[in-house]
Amino acid sequence: MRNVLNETVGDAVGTKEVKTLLNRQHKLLTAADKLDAKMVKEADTNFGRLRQQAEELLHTKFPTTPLAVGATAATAATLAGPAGLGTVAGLFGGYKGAKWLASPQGKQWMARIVELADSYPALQPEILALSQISDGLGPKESE
Amino acid sequence: MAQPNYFDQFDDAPLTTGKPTNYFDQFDPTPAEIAAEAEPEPGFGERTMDTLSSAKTSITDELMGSETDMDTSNMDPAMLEAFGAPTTSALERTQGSVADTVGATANVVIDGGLSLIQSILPDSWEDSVIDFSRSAWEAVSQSPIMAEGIEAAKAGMKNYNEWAEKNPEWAKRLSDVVDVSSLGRTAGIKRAGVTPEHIKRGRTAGLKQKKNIRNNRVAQMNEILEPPKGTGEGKYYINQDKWYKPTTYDGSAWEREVARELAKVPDVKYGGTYVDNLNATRTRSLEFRDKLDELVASKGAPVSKEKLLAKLGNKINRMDENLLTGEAREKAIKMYEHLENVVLKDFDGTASGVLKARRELDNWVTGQRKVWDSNFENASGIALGTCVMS
Repeated sequence: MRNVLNETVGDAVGTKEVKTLLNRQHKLLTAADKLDAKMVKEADTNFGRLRQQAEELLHTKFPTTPLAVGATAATAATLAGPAGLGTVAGLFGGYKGAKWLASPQGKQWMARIVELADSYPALQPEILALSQISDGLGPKESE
Repeated sequence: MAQPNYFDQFDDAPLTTGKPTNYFDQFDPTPAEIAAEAEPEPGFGERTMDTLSSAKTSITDELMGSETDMDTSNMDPAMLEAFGAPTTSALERTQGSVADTVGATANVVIDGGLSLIQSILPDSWEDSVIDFSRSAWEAVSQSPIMAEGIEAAKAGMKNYNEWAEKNPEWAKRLSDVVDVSSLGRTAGIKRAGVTPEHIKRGRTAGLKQKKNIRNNRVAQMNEILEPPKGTGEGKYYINQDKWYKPTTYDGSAWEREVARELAKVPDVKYGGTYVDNLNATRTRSLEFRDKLDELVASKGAPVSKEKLLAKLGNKINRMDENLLTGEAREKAIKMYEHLENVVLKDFDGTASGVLKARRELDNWVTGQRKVWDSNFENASGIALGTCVMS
């Protein structure tokens, strides 16, 4: 589909330069698509590792469904303090994927996860890796 | 006084007698044998590699001088033979069977590019050519400014530098395909004892090094872009000498073209994170976007919406004939519907409008990608046009 649209633009303009630029950009967009998919996978893998390490550290299993996350957070947060089990469980249940990290809510979530590193130094490497991905994500411009 | 023991009887024995002092000494090699071992006869493997190595040289020399853009070490033996190389042995065939597709593509691209280059450049410049692809030289041949640059370089480096100062962007493009600076350097050498052959060898060695660096970078980009196992269009081959990396992915012709383009983006780093490399790629793509906007806005001719949709429809219909496309056709139909009903609803009939539509389609497809799903990636990738089959 992209090829046809690019060809149409190239034919309409009629210069080789436009066709060459479109062709080169098409290759870059293809590379970007692949890198984007890999970045998403990398972030999810990072988050998965972070979650697993946090579970091992706190000797618990975090809930995954939104309802269970809410219930855990409500009952345990007040008992265990700001970096306690309920807060952590609620935080981990709130992750909505790598792309979401670019949104204001995602940035806010990441800031809270970074704060968590102070309470649990063992999680710092994974948190740092995830925050690097989050920092690099910006609003996407049309190419 | 210590008591005598069994070992005392050997105390006065000379340490080196020249004769065997124990049973195993008789098997030690003599000095003559040691000397003979220092320079062993080349084994079968070494002799074979020598043959292969000389075959490579002869082919590249015959085709386009002693330096080419073609990596013959990975080329299929059948292709080498087609070029007139000596017939290779079974072992050589095993060593050369890594990338049969590499050879096939390299042949077409280089052959097409070479004839075009020969029509543009003087023969003596052949060794300075960096990019042998036809597409690169078509771009050069169709630009009057590039023609001026080539003429200036023919007249001497002073003239060329003046032209390059006036046309920095074009000079950069020209330097991507031919190493103009090497022409200037070698032209001035008049040291006693230096023959044209010396100059040629020096230039060839420099270019070879440059190409090796570039080929390594392309290989690194291939690695960065390697798709998840079982989802790519290329082939895997086994690394016998790399236990830490048991297989290497050899991408399809299109995937290699993408890697070559990515290699030209300096901010994409091999050891960098995906997100940084993604940002660098997008930055370059945005530079292209700005140039395109400028060119298309000033020169675009009218475009018929009906003809455009018909062309897209034909493309989708042809996807039926290809079994490998899988779910891609369904995705393409959804994209078509989105284009017709949303993106092209208020189409203004200009080339800029088509360019805008393509961007909106790209954004729409990217926006659908909420989570990693290889099936979605493959199907939408084919439908959108990230694969050659579409």
